[in-house]
Amino acid sequence: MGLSARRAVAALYALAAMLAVLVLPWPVAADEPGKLVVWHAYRGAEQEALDRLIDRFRAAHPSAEIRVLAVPFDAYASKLEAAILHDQGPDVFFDAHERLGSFRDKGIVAPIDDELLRDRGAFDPVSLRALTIDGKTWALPVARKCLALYLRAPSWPGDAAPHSLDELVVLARKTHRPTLAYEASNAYAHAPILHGFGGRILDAEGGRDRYAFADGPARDSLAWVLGAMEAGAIPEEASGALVTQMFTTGSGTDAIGADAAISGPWLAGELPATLVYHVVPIPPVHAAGGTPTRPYLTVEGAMRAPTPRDPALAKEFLAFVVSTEAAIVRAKVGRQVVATNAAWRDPALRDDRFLTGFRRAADDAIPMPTTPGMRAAWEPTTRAIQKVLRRDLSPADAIEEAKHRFLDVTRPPPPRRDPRPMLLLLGLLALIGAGQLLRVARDPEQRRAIRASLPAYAYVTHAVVIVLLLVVVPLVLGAATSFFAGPPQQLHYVGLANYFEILSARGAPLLSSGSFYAVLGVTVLWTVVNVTLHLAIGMALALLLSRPVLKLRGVYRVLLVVPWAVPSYVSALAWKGMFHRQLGAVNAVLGHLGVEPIAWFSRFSTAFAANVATNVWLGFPFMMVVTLGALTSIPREVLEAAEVDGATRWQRFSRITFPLLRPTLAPSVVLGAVWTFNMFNVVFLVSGGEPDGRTEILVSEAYRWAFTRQAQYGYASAYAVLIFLLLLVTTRGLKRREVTR
Amino acid sequence: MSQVLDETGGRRRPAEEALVHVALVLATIAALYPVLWVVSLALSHGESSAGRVLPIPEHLSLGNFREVVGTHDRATGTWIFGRQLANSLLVSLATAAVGVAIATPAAYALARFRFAGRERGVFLLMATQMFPGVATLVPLYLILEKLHLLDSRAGLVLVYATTAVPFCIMQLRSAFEAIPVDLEEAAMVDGASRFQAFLRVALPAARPAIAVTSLFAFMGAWNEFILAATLLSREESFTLPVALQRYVGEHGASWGHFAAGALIVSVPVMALFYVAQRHIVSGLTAGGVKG
Amino acid sequence: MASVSIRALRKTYPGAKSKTILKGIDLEIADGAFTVLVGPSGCGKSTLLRTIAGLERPDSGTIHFDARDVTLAEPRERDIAMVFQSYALYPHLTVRENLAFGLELRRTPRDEIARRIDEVAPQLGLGELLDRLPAQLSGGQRQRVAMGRAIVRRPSLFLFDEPLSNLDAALRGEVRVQIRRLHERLGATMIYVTHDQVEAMTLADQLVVLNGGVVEQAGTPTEVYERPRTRFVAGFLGMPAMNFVEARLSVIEGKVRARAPGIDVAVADDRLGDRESTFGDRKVLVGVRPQDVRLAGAGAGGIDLRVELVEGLGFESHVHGALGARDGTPFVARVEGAAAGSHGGGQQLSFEVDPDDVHLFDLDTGRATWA
Ligand SMILES: Nc1ncnc2c1ncn2[C@@H]1O[C@H](COP(=O)(O)OP(=O)(O)O)[C@@H](O)[C@H]1O
Ligand SMILES: [Mg+2]
Repeated sequence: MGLSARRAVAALYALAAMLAVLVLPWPVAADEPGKLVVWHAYRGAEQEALDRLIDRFRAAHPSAEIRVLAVPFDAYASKLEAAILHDQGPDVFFDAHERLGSFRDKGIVAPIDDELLRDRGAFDPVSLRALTIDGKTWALPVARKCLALYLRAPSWPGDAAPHSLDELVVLARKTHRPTLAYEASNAYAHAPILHGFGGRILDAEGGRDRYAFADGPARDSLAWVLGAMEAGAIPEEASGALVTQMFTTGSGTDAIGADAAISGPWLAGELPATLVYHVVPIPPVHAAGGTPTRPYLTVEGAMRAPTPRDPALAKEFLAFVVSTEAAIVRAKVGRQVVATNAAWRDPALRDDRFLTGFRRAADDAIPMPTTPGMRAAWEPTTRAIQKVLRRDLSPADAIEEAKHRFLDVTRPPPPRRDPRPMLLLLGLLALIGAGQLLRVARDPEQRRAIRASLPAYAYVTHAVVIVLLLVVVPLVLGAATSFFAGPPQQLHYVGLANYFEILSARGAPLLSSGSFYAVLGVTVLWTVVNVTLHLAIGMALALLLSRPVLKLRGVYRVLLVVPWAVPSYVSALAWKGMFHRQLGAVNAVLGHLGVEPIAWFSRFSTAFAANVATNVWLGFPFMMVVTLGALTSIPREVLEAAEVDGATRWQRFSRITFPLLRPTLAPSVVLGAVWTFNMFNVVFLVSGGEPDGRTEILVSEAYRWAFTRQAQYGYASAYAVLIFLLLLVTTRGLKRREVTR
Repeated sequence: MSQVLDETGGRRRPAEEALVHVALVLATIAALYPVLWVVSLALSHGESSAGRVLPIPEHLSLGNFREVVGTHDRATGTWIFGRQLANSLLVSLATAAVGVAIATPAAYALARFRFAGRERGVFLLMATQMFPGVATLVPLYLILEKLHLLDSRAGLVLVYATTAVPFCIMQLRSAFEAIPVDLEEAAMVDGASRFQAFLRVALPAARPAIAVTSLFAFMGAWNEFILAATLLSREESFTLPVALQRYVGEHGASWGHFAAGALIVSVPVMALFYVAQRHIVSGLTAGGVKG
Repeated sequence: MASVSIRALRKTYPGAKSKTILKGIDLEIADGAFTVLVGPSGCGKSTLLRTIAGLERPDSGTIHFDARDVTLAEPRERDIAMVFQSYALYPHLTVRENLAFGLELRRTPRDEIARRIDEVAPQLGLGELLDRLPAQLSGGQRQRVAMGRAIVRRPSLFLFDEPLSNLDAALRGEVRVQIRRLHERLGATMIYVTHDQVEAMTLADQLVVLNGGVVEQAGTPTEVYERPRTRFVAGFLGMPAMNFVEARLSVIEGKVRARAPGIDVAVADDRLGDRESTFGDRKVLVGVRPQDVRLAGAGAGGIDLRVELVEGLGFESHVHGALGARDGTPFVARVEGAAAGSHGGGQQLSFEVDPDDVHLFDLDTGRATWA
């Protein structure tokens, strides 16, 4: 190696070192007196209120270093866990009482000092009880949240309120306009109505979760919602955004709007300041008789990490946050239904119809169960309600299916297996591998080959090492996870049980919705349809663009490639917005053509079509560019010869152009197929699996098992391994076929 | 079909020419419509676009852009948007640099040498790219956790490198294969060592390809969203796509801000994309890399 | 078989700098004739041929095959076959499939296709190659496949676009003879484009010289060679090319002579057309082919050449020099045999030429004076 070469290598390493410095992690926190870190997931007014409190607290502690971090709600819990376990998390954080149980189990929250709780009577007793587990109180109650009924002037002036939900349905029959906006198909929003019929979603008494969305009350509640929808009182396919929009619009204009809405305090933040409205507890379903429509109650608490940077400061902050003074700020600025009793003596709070409305609603509400079963119950229940409201299933069948789903998700992990057979197998494989290596090392032919390869190895070794570390190790670990099951912290070895469960569809019929085979079928259909359309559209456009005489060719080419250039998550989200039933551009265009608005994500066919439209839009430019390149290698004279030989245009395409494009396009098609097979972004962001998880493809299904269904990492990994094997075998097969042709 | 599919020309009727333009204009409209929607949402501040067919805002306003760019942390007063922009830039640059630096010699060896284990290595490399990305997320998460890199730019660069390195290897391999070997042979006849031939002849000749490859690696990292959203937790460590995603939350999505942010993020890389795009296809199809 | 009749054909390629390629072509091609279109590169030969094939659509003018107007017909409605300069073989089809392609499209029965291929393949020496792909053939073999593809079709009109230009010299001569034989055997009408005057002269029944999008002259090869209508035709045909000298016509002793420094030759009457009276003292361009001069005794011929260089080819020599003085008009003369050695630079030679072989062209229009 010459001098210049050595210098170049040195420069490379210097570059790498510089990069390493650039991207170094932030320093790790340690015991630091005078420091306080606070995390929350608040936005809007609540964030504003908290910021004011922090300012006051700072003023009182000028020497303290206080940092506040707003973390997005979706990722809040998992980030808390990760950060606190590594001493990078907050000292004090705000979260809902439902999560206390799992936080406590994972050791990321510490009990509240008795000193802070000397006067238990200062707090709302229900809230305090919700934050107490096994006799210890783990958080100071900050605020209560639940659903209530928003009512808009002028239809509901002053204190006017309906006496029952039926009254709103009757009103809708009369006026032929919606009267109540709420997310009917959401289990959380359905719960008050279920409770109003005397039902329950989950029976958590006695420490064992029993799925209780069943029998008469569940059926009756569903039948009532269905009736209300048929009467036109409540909207179909309502989302949070639509509820906001309808209530903002009101019934006075041409656009769809409603003068009443069931929502939580968060709705207020989205409403225009000029809107006149008040809030009351949700009235009973029927005017006479029946049980109250009690919503679920969430208690927000201020929690403390086990090892705060400065324990005294953290304690002081906790006491400050729930003090009467702070509670009044939170109520006035943050519009919170605070749990500090003394604050309600403030006349401004007492006279606030928004706060008192929610306070009355909260007094009646049922604290949300904190057991793991509750988290598992939402998805099956929401799906059942959706299916009924779309008239896909009768209430009885939907309820039955929901129960199965619940049991499916909460089923106990497969039993522990003896890992010895697997270890033995691995040992054997390692032995065989070693033997193979030895044989290679002995074989003079091979030795010569390896010696001849030494110069080449000098170039590839570092890359091999890095690829092994970065790519292969996580992959092998991921694959290995598929032999384990159980909660993330206590995985245990289960052998091939995950695979058996997947391949046997967990005991259900093999083709039942959500089974591996059904999802595989959808995935294959998804891949075939997409690749075919990519190819057909890309090729057709390329053929048009490659006409010898074409004005504006360059302009077309540049514009048609735009979908490829846009980041795919941006386009996926944009398309999702365009397919919105009430607000989307697609239905607006169809409306102009006289087509009824379509609820795109309520049926498999339309939801699948929406996904396909998005993905075809994303993918055709790639095929177009590839085809354009391939077309330039077909001499024009060959096509002219065919023309002279008597070929029609179609014959020229099918017998000359296409066969000549084929070998060039084949690798791109295989590549496109692999991309599409694993196209997570589109399915996840556009349909999100709707309706009912039926548009889910294998990758997004694997993601759901890992991240939204009780963190079943082992199960998800088994899915991933199966996807990998499928792709590997198929692409190899395709390649071999293409070669032998 | 046979009306539109025409490869020879110069003697066609005007009616047919018109038909071709109609087809192309329709396709172009379809290609641009969603993008125009994003543009129009970004430019209309605080209006609802419900039920509109044409993506034209009623009142032009740059309010969304001002608000997105001007995002500050309320408590500390740091300029969060600037911080996130810097994160995105640093992470993407580092990913591209790491990817190309590691891949270049390996790609050269794959293109120029036959050596024991070569075919198997390439196959393995391609095969790893078929493992769905979301599935490696779990082990990656656990590994980063162990390394205390979970919420850091370095951790994100490591994760991005898992796709960037194989991508760069495949891209650069086909680039080196396209360079005539005569050049290096001439250099070696003139007395250069193999390594000098690589450094002095092949590397400069591959410079455009290296530029394009790093550009694509850069864009891959710049546009990535799911991994970053899962691995980052602090607002000041977010990359721009994660920050953008926050605007489209559960209730009352702030589409205007999302759209403005999306434009800020996309427009520069779209420009780069057009520079790089015509060079990329051959390497892509020769390699086979996941998206 | 068909006759071809082309009238007032004009063609402009659309595009940024649209220039007219064919500027009003009129041409009659008799049934069964072998017509060669010859002209310098870029003069529009291929364009004309492609327009006849139907691959280009003319701006105006008509093309008739026999009595049928085919101006707007598609190529496949014309019953033609074409051999391209690049051969344009279908790269994904074997030789056999290449030959069969056109017949299959016409729904010729399978056994008939097989019969025709079996008949044509041995004639062209393709017997062994039938199952190969074009990429596995040499240049000469590909050329024969391209020919075979045209022959099996049995069209009423064959079109060739410089089919030999990619072959080496020896092969070119061989195939040239084969093509001529093919024409004799089939008796089909053939139109053949070339820029090579040897091919043009040897193959043609009718020779058509194109230049700048117009037909300069059409006629039998001898006719065109011996009585070129324009200065361009005269200069284009013949190797080495014709010598041109500006000269003055004068009538001396009732005979017309052309005179300039170093040259003083008699002109035959039939070169003058019927405007004899006007020739007195008129300036013209005199053309003399190198082949048409003979060595004369010193000062005895009408052409005095100061020799600068002699190229010996063995069977003949080309003498390059200047007329009269050192910086006179350049002139080339052909001399029989290897007599070159005896003529050195600076030597003065005298040549004579028959009055019949002295061509006269108008200085401004370039037309022959008789035309
Ligand atoms: N498709 C085309 N578009 C524009 N100009 C063309 C096209 N084909 C040929 N030309 C131009 O027309 C002229 C005549 O071409 P051609 O007929 O091919 O000449 P040749 O006599 O050498 O065969 C040339 O100047 C050429 O550049
Ligand atoms: Mg030509």
